[in-house]
Amino acid sequence: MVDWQKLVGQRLSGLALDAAEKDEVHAELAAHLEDFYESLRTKGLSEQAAIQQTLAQVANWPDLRRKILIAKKGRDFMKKRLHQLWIPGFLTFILSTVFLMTLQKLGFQPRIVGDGPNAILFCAPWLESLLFVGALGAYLSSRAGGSRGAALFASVFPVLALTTAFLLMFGST
Amino acid sequence: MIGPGIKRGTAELAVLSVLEEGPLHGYELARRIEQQTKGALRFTLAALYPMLYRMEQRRWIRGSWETGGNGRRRRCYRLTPEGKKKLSPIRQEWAELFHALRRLKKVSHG
Repeated sequence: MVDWQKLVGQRLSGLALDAAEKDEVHAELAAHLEDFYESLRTKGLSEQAAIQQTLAQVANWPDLRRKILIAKKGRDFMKKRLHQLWIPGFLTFILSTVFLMTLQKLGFQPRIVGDGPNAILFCAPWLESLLFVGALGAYLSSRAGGSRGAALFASVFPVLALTTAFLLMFGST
Repeated sequence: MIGPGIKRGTAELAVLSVLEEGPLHGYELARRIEQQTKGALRFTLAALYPMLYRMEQRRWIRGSWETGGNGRRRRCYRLTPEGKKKLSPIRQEWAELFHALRRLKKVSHG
């Protein structure tokens, strides 16, 4: 027997609603799937066929998640999120990357800390610049009406992006 | 079978019309529409709920949790006074459209 509540929770994970509202959506959609599944079983379909047809009710879960979010919060919410989160976030990332490239072009030599395969290039001016770039990201996010969380995310976005890239590089070697 | 473009426009009218008869939960609402339209209008979960939530945000319908006879909790939707007000002009628009289409010889022969 499929746990529809769990299935919906997993497929719609990341739905940006508050916890209570999200639980309501999960419960409602799970109830719908359960009713649909039971009606198919009543019609004589095998368990496997009924599950497959029930799952076919949603062809694209990420798209459903996006549509639910827009329906619940309105299109303005998505626009706000773009201005409060993603634009400041990517701007800080681009600025920090451009500054690092400029330092390299100007011939600035980073300090090498450690040796062998564990050596780390330590570029102090660039690291210091991250404070200002991050502050700019936080300022832009706040100016667009972003919450503290959004401002924080925008300010640390380059660090998050580079750490992810770093981990992927080390993970693949 | 009605194509998706026309369906999208008629979906809200169908939901409002069926809810005018009484409150229903999502699954039952979809089943009732399918039944009453003899299968011409069919809603999957993915098509139904974003529309219901959007209509709820516009305050045309209101959802509330209710426990049925079998002890199961379901979110039932009912028409609000605003929804009732909205239903009449939407019906009028569609009636005008069908009337206009009927006047077109090519369409009526098609």
